[in-house]
Amino acid sequence: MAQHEFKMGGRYRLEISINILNLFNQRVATNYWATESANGKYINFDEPAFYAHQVDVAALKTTTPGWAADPRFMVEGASIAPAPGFQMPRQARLGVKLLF
Amino acid sequence: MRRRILSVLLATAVLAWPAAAQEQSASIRGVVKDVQGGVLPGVTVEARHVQGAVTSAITDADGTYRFPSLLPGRYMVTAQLASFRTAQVDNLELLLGQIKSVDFTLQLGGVSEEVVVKAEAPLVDTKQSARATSIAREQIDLLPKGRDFTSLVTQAPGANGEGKSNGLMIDGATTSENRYIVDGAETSDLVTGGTGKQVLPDFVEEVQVKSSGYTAEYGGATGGVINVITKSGTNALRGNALFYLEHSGFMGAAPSGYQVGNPTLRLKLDDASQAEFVTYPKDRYSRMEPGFSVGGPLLRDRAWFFAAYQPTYEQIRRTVTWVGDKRTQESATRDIPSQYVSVNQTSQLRPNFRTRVAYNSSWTRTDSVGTQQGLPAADGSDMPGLDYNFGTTRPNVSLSGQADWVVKPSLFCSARVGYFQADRQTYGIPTGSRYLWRTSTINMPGVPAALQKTSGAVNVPSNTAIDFDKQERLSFQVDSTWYGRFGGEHAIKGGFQVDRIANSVNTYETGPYAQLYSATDGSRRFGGMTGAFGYYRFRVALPTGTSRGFSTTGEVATNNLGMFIQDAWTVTSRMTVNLGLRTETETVAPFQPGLDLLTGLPAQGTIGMSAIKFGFQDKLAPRVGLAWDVKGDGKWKTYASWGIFYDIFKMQLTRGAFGGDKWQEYFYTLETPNWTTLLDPVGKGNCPPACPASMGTLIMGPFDYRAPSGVDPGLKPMRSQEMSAGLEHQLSAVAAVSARYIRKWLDRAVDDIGTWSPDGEIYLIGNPGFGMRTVACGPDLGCNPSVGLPKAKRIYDAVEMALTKNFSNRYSARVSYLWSRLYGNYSGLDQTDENGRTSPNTGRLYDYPLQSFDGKGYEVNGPLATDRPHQVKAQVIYQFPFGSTLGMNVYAASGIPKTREIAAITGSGYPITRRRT
Repeated sequence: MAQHEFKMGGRYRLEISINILNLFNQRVATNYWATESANGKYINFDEPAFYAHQVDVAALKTTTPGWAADPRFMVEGASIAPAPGFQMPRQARLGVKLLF
Repeated sequence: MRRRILSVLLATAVLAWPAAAQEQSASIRGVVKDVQGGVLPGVTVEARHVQGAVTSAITDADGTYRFPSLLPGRYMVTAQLASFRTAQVDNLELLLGQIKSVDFTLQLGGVSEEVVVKAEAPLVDTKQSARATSIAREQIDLLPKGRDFTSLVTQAPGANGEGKSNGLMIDGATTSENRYIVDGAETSDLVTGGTGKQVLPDFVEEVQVKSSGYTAEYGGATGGVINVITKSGTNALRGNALFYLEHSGFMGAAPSGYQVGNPTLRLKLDDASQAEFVTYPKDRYSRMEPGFSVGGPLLRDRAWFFAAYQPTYEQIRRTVTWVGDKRTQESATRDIPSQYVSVNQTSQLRPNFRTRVAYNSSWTRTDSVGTQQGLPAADGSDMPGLDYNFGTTRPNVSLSGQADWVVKPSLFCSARVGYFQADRQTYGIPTGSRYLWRTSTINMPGVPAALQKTSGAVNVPSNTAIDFDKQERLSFQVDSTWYGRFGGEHAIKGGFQVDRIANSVNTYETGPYAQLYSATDGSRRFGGMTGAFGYYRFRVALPTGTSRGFSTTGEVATNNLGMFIQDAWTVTSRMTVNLGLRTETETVAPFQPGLDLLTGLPAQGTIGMSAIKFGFQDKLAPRVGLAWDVKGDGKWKTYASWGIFYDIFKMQLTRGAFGGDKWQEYFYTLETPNWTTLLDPVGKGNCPPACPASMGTLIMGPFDYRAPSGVDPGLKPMRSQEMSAGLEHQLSAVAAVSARYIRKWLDRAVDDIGTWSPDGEIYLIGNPGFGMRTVACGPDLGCNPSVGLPKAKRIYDAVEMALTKNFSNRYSARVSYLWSRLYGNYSGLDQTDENGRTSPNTGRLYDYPLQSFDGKGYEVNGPLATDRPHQVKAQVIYQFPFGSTLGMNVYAASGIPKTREIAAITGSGYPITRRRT
């Protein structure tokens, strides 16, 4: 934030300012797509076997008919509201203020 | 004996004017001695605030004086005694909640001498073991910031704005676990727990962030406490007139929530097996913000006022290219007016009695309802010709009053009252059935081109109507502090607090709502039963027969009580022990009456009045701290603290689990691509469930979401513990360094723990891993005694180092480095692993046991979604000699841990959409 103050005489002052967030307009990824399954695609297994550590999820992905991965899986920059995919771009605000 | 001790504590608390939590002041204490080290009674000590208020005190027989309640700000403190030279400390910065020790040594002087001996102002508060960061007016005015006080809070080490928590996280705790206080009135959102009030930084005098080690007078938070104090008037008439302008023409983005020019990841419209980044045109945005403020004396040295008014006018214009009919671009424009007001009045009519009344309000008309914007979807998936002229108005008011009274040098009393009200009302909500395409039908065989839709397309932007959703909090607090000596110096403080919270709501969907899925691939979902074009789910409100969908209706109110007693015991001149005990009662009132007090299920013959009730014995929160002035010169302090902290339920729990939210859902096969009249029979005759064949075949339903949940009779409140230790050192008159280690951990959480039955989802409000939900339960409550349901685990470890250099030689600086580790399986009241979903105590982690296990059947335990191992923050202000000032705020952090999730169907046929692999 930068501001400059001008003396106007007496107790009056004029202040101009610029307020900038993300000055260098960086675009850093802040989220990613976490769901591996494509929409409507599920793996199937038996729960007791799962809790007994007898289910191989990685194998199920290849053996389940029709199962498909979501092409967005693990891609950074995915926006899933309310979490944004990227850092907010540069924002700026100009200001003028008369103080007494 | 135990009962007797408790009785003594309670009696002390009541006699001492029972509890307070929202401090708006700070204090100074000290000892006056002569050069031989003898204490000097009868010395007049004056504290003169920069705004003109003067407070005086006389040293007692031990040479001690104290100002227990002073407005934050800069002070000149003087000590005078006949025959001695006056001693003076200039420019003493007193931040919110601080206890500064200012000791004087008076030298003998001649009768007519006017010599003033100046001493160095202390920077380190050597009496307290709490960790707090204050952002004072200098930082507020001169550093980059957004348009709400929350943008200032992130200057504090360990306090970060996280999209995955939908707000501020403090020391690993999520947004809903903090408490937000404006001018002494708690303004936390009663439903979500997040910040419930926007306050423009132009109105703010100081923001204080209490991160750890805070004393027993503060409760109801497993995160931090954020205190905001607005500006006050001074003896001089001062004010300003201002104008701010934001415009997309010279900035990279509109504020969050609009299309900002960043790439969007999406599935290709004509091939859902591929993804692409698309950059939609940036919304054209402008914000104009005229305003003024004025403050001054009403009665010089006695009474002051401050008033500010700042309306804002925002405009967003979006241009999209329609996908559906490939028409050319069309635009829509929305105006968003807001008004912000802050008024307060401070009086000090007598030196020992001060009052302050503050009013803060805002009113906004937004172009959205929840997450549905009153603008065309940026990807052009909406149907042309939709009416976007709808939105929400949000009036928001807080009013508070405080009276501080120094009854006598050994007794200080304070009383506070606060009122907070926030409401929402929608306007222009479209009526009729709403359709949302969950999967794309682009290029789907048999679907005419005119009826093909992309994933996410809707025919109506929103059909959620809010007649009112008013939340109110009325709080009253009294406390008193007694100063005395026995085995050292004591400041024993006791207090009592009453909070009445209420929610009155009527929201509903103006018509039935269907979500369409084009899955025809024989998935086992619902036994593989799909129609020629997939299936759809639609919802109507309870009771059956109405045409409305999701609704939240009813009115609830409840009272919560809190009390505390604490002692700041200065054992020796160097060592202060802070001991405290806090307890609270809490009641969750159900929206739907007739719940059994123990189980939460519909009562059999008796009508219960509360769904959950905790007594004082359930929420005992001891706090212990130690602060040691290492060398006795006020320049080295080491401290440590430990404490137990309890959460207070947000109203999302009673809305979501005890009859506030109501809807019924049905699943039907989709046998026609012509969706336009699909839901027309709903609400007519006996549909649902007896719907005509044109709607397809009933797959499953009705499912009641949510009939009141059960409650584990052994339910205990959410509890966390923390321990911290630190070191602070004053390097010079203007610089100090500090180091802190903090560890916070959850003992237990409260959540809705679910399983599945053919009648729908079944939920029990319990402590995951404890009580009735010690083991994992599958369909129809077939609990597996060999599979433990994981306890909620969240552990935060951090080491923080900071350097603070106050303004001198044209610059000030605050620099910090923080190493931290946030891990476990439970993010907190906000669901960071659900991308910022805010649903306190009703998250999805425990909706089905599988979600707490990894791909090999073991409990999930690892870095949480907002783990930021390395964080650097720096705020620097430099003043050039020619009248310009430059302020810089830097934040850099590492992290985003990656969790993978996969969708699964178990024996029940019900899809589990999240499970870690």
